[in-house]
Amino acid sequence: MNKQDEARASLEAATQDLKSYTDGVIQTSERISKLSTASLYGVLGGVVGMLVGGFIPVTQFASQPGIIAMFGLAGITAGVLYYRSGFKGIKTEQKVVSNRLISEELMHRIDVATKANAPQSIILSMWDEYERLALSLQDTPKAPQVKIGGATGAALYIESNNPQERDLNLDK
Amino acid sequence: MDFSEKHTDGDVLAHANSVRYKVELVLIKLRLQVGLSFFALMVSLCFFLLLLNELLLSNSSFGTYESFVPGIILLTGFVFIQSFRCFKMSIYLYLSTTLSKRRIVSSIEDWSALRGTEHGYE
Repeated sequence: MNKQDEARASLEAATQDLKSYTDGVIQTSERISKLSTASLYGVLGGVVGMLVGGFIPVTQFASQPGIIAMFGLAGITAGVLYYRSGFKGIKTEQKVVSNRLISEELMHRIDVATKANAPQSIILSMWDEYERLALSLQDTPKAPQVKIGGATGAALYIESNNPQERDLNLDK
Repeated sequence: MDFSEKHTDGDVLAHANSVRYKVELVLIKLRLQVGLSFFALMVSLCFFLLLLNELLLSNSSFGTYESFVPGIILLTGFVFIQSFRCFKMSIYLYLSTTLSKRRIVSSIEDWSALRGTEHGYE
């Protein structure tokens, strides 16, 4: 391997490494940005906790500042925990509600199409859609990406859940 | 770009330059993030020390809100820790991205120089 080949190999390796590295850095950077939102929720929880602690009467076991500080700490923890888990629960709930509405609408359409003696292929495609909707509620892994590299390095990603559809796209 | 395929020299250089550009864009974002997190760190540290000083010297002017001071110190401490985490991670990302940029820049320069020599451009 001469020097030019070595330099070329080094450049290719650096390009390939940095491509995936920069994507990772961008993701981590986004995660760091979200830390400020978590802190905000923690602070809000802490303030609420302190205000609640202010209304608790003084006992012989703890002084007023101690109670307020303890409630503040509990508020911070609750705020951060709510940020970490609360939104996920709300999102899932919203997803379930919208999924239920769409599935009811789909069932109605299938019923109408069956009564109107629609072609079997149409009814089958509706059932397929219904099945896809049911599957979309589950946490399925991201669909595989098929990458086609162009001469200029432009890459085209074809994303599909249906393997047959992906094959069709590849044949084009 | 799939490097298992054969590409022309121009393609290789174009891809490397495109990645270098992307790295520079990431660096701009990280610089901003480092700056902001440093500002947040300094502000929370100053505030934390100020409150601690007031509490320790016990000549505070908080009046009726004096019982809230330990709680506020706790909150400021929490913000300080979060800012510190953010700053630490941003600095790490910034430094490692700078090193990566140096790597790709030096690879491009080496490759360009050798290619120039090969074609008699030097």
